[in-house]
This record gives sequence, structure tokens and C-alpha cells, in this order.
Amino acid sequence: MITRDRTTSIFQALPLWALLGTLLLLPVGTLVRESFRAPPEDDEAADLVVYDRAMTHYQAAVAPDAMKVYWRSCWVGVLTTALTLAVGYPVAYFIAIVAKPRWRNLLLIAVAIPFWTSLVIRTSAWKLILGTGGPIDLLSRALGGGAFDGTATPTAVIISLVYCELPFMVLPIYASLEKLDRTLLSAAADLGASPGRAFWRVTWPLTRPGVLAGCAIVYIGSAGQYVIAELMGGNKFPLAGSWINTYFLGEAPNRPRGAAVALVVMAGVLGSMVALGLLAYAIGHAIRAVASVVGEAVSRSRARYTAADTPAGDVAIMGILKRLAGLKTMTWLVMLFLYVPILVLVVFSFNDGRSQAVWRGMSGKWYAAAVQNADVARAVKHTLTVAAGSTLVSAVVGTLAGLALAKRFPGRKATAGLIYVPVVIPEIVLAVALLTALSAVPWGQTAGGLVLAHATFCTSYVALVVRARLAGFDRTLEEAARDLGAGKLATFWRVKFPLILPGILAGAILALTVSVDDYLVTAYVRPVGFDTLPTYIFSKVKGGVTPEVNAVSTLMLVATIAIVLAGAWVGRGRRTS
Amino acid sequence: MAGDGDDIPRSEFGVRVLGVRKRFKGVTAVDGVSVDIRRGEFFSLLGPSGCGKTTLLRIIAGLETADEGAIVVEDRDVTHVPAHRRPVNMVFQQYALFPHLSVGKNVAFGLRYCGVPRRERAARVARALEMVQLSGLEGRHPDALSGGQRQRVALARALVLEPRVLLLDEPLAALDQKLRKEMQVELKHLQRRLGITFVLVTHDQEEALTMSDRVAVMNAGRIEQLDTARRAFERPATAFVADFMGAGNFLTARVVQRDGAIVMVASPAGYETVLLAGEDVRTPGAAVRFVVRPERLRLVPTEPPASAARACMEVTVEERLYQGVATTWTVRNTAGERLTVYDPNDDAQAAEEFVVMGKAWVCWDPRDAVVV
Repeated sequence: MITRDRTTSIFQALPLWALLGTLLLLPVGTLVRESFRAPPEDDEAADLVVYDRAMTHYQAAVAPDAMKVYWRSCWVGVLTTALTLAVGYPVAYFIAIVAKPRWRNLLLIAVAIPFWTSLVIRTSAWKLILGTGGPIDLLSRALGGGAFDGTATPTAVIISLVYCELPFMVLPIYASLEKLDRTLLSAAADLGASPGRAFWRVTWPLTRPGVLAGCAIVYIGSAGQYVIAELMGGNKFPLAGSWINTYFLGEAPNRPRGAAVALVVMAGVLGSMVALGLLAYAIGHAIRAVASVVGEAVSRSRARYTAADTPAGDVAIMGILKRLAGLKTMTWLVMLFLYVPILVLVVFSFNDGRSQAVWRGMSGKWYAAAVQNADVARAVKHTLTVAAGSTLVSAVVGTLAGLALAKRFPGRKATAGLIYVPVVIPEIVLAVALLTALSAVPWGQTAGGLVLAHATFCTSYVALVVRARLAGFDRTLEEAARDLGAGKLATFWRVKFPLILPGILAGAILALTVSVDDYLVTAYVRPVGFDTLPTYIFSKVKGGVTPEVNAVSTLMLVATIAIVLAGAWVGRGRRTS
Repeated sequence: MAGDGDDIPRSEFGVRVLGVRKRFKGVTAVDGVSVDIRRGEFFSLLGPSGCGKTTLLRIIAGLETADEGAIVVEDRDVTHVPAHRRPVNMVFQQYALFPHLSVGKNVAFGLRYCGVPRRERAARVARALEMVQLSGLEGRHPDALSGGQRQRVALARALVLEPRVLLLDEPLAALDQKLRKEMQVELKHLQRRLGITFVLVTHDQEEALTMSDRVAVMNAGRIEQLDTARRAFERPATAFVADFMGAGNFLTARVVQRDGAIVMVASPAGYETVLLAGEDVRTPGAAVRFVVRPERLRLVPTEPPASAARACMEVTVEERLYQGVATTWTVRNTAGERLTVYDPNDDAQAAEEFVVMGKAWVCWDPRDAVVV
């Protein structure tokens, strides 16, 4: 009976391997091969960086000019990660520990909603705020300070990056904090630790996994960045991602060289992340060592008990209350930070004037125009069909994989790792790999191919959610069903499936929104002229944010939020133990 | 009810466990266990955690497969029959009620695999719920029930299928004291009424005593004693059983004389007594270890006159624990052996006679001593 279970699990994991194996692993291998091919004949059109054509691709990929770009990307990654951590941890702490339980879900959704909207939309909001015709510009001109255009600066890129990556830092840290046993803090207080000490010696070590997960996601996301830099500043601020892009979708494509650069960047991002992690670890140790020496000296010079009768518990509570004021304010500020850009976007979509630079008063005409726009309508249709298809595929494949991972079977660890591959690769490399895979088959660059491409990264979300849901699943329920006479299939259908259905639906909704919002992979893999909403918006925003685009963005925003809230409502409906 | 002899015709057995062995990653959970449970008997597997009792129960249920050995349920060899086809049903320790189904649907769950037509199912469910005194609760959901109610639903769900054998995995463990005692009596009555074989797993010896006809005391994957509950309690076969059943007053003495199976022993603690001893401890000079239950020891303030009807020795009183119904004394004899004396508080001033660190005398009836 045990061997039969294992075989079932292997079969359940097969679709995942088939999908990711052919669309991801194989292409990455193909990229390696591609990177050794000769460049196309006609590459006289200037590369971004001028260097000797005789160099091999790899030599070009690690040339000094290239290294400058990588170094810049690395810094962007570090800065973004540091900022999101500094801002994200207190917010996560507030939501998980300080806020009343009633508010927790609401706050979490509030933090997550910006995530559910397209990167393109969010960046265009910042482009609006920081650029010509935006609130800062208007204010500056009104006060007589002249025009203001902050878009093509590193600061703008970093701000946008922090804005986009913040939920990815907050949510894993929140998950870690939520699991924290509060009585541990009481015990620490009882044993003589001040609130600050208790945090460093108890809370921080226990939430480190969440912090590491958040930092990894944010670092990979920001170091490999392309879309934001492109939208904000164009060529003035080349990062590794945009550089890869020029080799594939630029004016003078040079795929072999691009392949080499992509692989080098991927290795570089992951390698630098590991190196930075080790550095942080070493620094942390050093700090701890110093701190304990100092701490010893200080405490020896001070009496152990100060006021005779302050119960330890009260001290802990007072400490928390003191921090409450600071944390609450911070959380509110962050919420403002998250929603003001969206608000600005919405407000400016009502600008009566054609150009962004001049405000002519309120008008809803752009909405009317957007709804009647044939291009927009087509883009919407495309977006929805692709999303429907990829959600279906990823729901099935992801659920099977999630089911398989709940049990032991040969290849389990590898399968668990495979799920993370689409998430861990910088998105540009993912797009490049998918392009490589799909351009090799005649039916590849079609709507169908696009569906499969989306499924490649959406499946991971479904698998992770289903697996998490299964982790708390009571095995004895299955045993009881079998004891009462139900065979394997009946047990699955009558007991297991109804209970994991909310998880499958949650994963499917996640997959749906990720697919609807995707820009980069779509841009790479789509057939010529096949626009989805994000690619449509991107092409319009690149030239400058206009009220018309804002209207479309706002509509898309509203639709996405509606989907998410509907999903959350459905998920709450059923109570399972 | 069948007698205690070995001359029972085969078909009288509810469950036969034949040489079952089960290993988990190098640890032997069940070590070659054989036991014959009679049809219609209330049988308990009793022992501490890790002794293998739950594993054995799960093997009987079909939720685990034995590495060696066989399981026979009422003359049918079910060793290779999967769990969902065995005429055996289980009540799980945490009840395992399906959270997404109502009480009625939970109880009806297995009926479709018994070939019970749809029209009859509601009636069967109602009857099962009535049997466990939960009539009318078909529409409720498990999360709206108390622990005791959930337990009864789990019971009804198993019994509605009219199994030949009912297995219970520590069913009362999650209930509070008072409810547990009530359920013990109810389960016993239920079993009598239904007349089917019950196999119960528990670590609570009082539970086993209250409900069972026979009990198998298990330790480290083996059965140490298979007997009626009363005999396991009053005449433990091994030191382990004695200790587990609360009879852990170990005394050692040397054989002085022997007369057949009866030996006279003497101890440096100052007593002489007679014991019924086994083959291996009958030679003069041999050391014999025996136990006397705490409630069979009597504490007296002064040396009682010598008598063949009792054995007495001097002790020092070490500790006194007043427990309401009784007082538990810890005493130590001159040979250094520590004993527990359980003294019901049935007269007003008796307890006041003894002083901690003072001297007293302990006596017992030689017939209450059991060699282990």
C-alpha cells in the first residue's frame, strides 16, 4: 500500500515536470548553447556599449563596461532591499503583533492590493507623480519654482522599486511573525529581558526565515529589474535587465550575446545574493559579539533590579505600548505611501485636457473613450483569454503538484525545488528562456504558446498555496473515510477535495491576477501585434503618462481589485477546522 | 459468555492476532504478538505510550500492514484485505469527524458502501444517533458540538455500519474526568447490548478495569500479561505489570524452607512469611521478589502480636499525603525498601496516630503477596 501511494505521487508530480522542464529547464540549457553561437551577420547597428566585435560573447558579458552595469544593478538591489526591510519589518510587526486581530485581515489585504495591480500601472503612477504635469511639478510651478521632472533619476527608480517590492517583504515577515508564540515574549520578560532585548534575542531570530525569504525575493526582483527602469528613465540609467532586453527586443538583436549576458546576470544575481547574505551574517555575528561585551560591562555597573515591584509582565506591556505609538504612525505612513500614487493616478484620469502637463478640470471623457477604443477592447479580450487559459492549466498542474508534495516520494525534494525556479530567476531571464523555448516550435509564438508561458510561472503560486493548505490537513480524516468503507478515489473526492477546494480557488485567483498583470513575459513571447492590457499600457506610458492611459489603468485596477475581493469573500464563506 | 479455558471452538473468536510483527525504521513497534479475542468480548490493550498498542490496533483496522503475521476476523483472514473492505470499524482518538459535513452526513458516510438503499439511510442514521443519545442532531456541524458529543457522533458513525468488531483508540482521552467516568459506564452497557466484540486501546488502567472483560498489558511491543482485568490488577505476572497497575511495592526476601510450591521466606527487615513461588525461586537461599498492593498494607502504631495470619515489619514513616478519600503514606523498612500504604480515611482519628519520621508497623495478609 505504501508503494502505491508513492507511485501516485510521482504521477501527480509529472505534469509539473513536463511543463517546467520543457519551458524552463530545457530553454535555460538552450540558452547556454545559444550563447556560444556566432552573432547574426548584420550587427553593425551600434550596441549600447561599444566593444570589440571579435570578443566572444562571454568576454563581452564580463567586459569592464558590463561590470559597471552589473555593479549598478547590485547597488540598486541592495538599496531596495535595505529600504524595504527597514520599512517593511515594522509594518509587518504592527499588523502581526500590535494591531487588534479584527483589523489584521483588513490590513493585510490593504498591503497586498497594490501587489495585485500591474507593475506597469504602479510605475506609471510614480512617473505621473514625479514627472511633468504631476502634482509635484504643478506645485513647484504654482509656487514659482519652475518645472520639475524627477523621472529619469536613480532616486525615481529606487522609489518605484521600493513601492513595488514592499508587499513581497511585508508578507513573508508577517507570516513568520504570525507563527510566533506570544508566550515566549512573556517568558523573556519574566526572565529579565527588556522589550528591546526580548526583540533581539527572541523575536528577531525566530522571524529570520521570513526576513531571509523577503530579502531574497526583493533582491532578485530589484537587481534583475528592467521594466521600471525602462519606463522611468529609458536609456539614461541602464541596468542589467534593460541591457539584456536590448539584445533581444532592441533595434539590433543579438541573441547569442544576449543569451550569454542573461546567463551571466542570472548567475551574478544569485551569486551576489549569496555573497551578500554571508556578509550580512558575518556582520551580524560581529555586532552580536561586540554588543554582548558592551552589554556585560554595562549591566555589571548597574543594579539588577531597579524599582522593587514592577512585575515583569507590566514592563513588557509598557514597552510595547510605547512602541505602539511609533509603529502605528509608521504603518499609516506606509499605507499612505502605498495608496496615494494610485489615488493620484485615478484623480488625474479625470483631467479634461489632452496633455498631462496641463490640468484643465474634471472630465470623464477619457473613460468613455477608453471603453469605445477598439485597441483597448481587443487588449482586454486577449488579456482575459490568456488569463483564463493559464489559470486553468496552472490550477490543474499546481494542485497535482501540491498534492504530490504532501507525501514522501522519490524526487520530492527536487520537485519542491522546481516550484521555486520561476520565482527565483530574474524575470527577464525567465522571459528570455520562454522566448527561446517557444520560438523553437512553430506553434510557439501564438496565443496558445502565451498561455503555456503564463502557466509556467503561475503554476508555482497554485502549488505553493495548495501545499500550504495541505500542511495542516488532518490525515486521520482520510483514514476514517477508508475505515468507513470508501476506496481511494471516493476518499479523495468526498473528503480531501472539498477540504482543499478553498485553497485551490485561492491559488487560482492568485494565478489569475498574476497572469492578468504580467508585462515582461507577454512582451517577449506574444505574436506580433497581439496586445494585452499591460503591453498596451506600457507602449502608451513610455512616451508619457496621459489621462487616457490613466483611465484605462484605473479601469484595470478596479477590475483586479474586484476579482481579489470576490476571491477573498468566497474563501471566507466556508469554515473548515 | 465463554469461559476461561482453552477448549473453545475456533469460531468463537472475534479477532485473532497471529504472530504479528511491525517495524518502523529500525524500531520494533509490535514484536511477535499473538492474542485471541473472543467474540462478544470487551477486550483492552493496556500499556504506556510507545508500547505498541495503538500500532496493533491500526494493524487490525487495516490502516497499517504488518511485516509478519496474520489477522483473522471471525474466521476470515483479513491480513491482505484493505481497510475499506474489512468488517471492522474504528473510533479515532481525535474523532476524525469530517468538518465539511453535518452530523447526519458524517454518520451516513459509510452507508453507501454497505449497499444500504438511499431511502433507508436516514432511518439507520436516526437509530444510530438514538443509540448514543444524540437524537435530532443530524443538522448540526461538528464545530458546534462539545467534545463529548463529538465522541458520540464518532461512535454512531462506526456503529451504524454494524461492524463485527469495533476498535476504539483511546476514545475517552480528550474528555474531562467526570464525563470520562460516565462514558466508561455507557460504553460498557452499549457493548453488552450490542453483543459485538470491542477492542479498546488505553493507557489508563482504571478505564481498562471498569470496562473490560479481559486485558492485555503491553510493554515494548510485547504482551506481558493476558488475563481478566481483575487478575491483572490483583495478581500481576511481572514487575512491569505490577508497577504499571500501581502495585509497585517491591519487597525482596530469601527462601528459608520449601514445601512444594510454597516457600517460607525471611527478610532482614524483620518479617517471615509464606509465598506461592514459581519454579525458579524455590531453592533455599534464593532471593524472591514480591509485591503487595498499597491498599492491602495496614499501618499500625505499635508492634502487633505475632500471628500466622499476617506478616509484619517495622518501618519509619517518611511522608504523608492527605488526599481526601484516603491518606497515602510513604514508609521505609529497616532493609531500606520504600513502600506506599494507601489508607482510606474511614475513621476520624486514625491518621493522627502516626508521625512523620516516627516509627510504625506495617502488616499484610500473606495471601495478598504476589511473586513477580
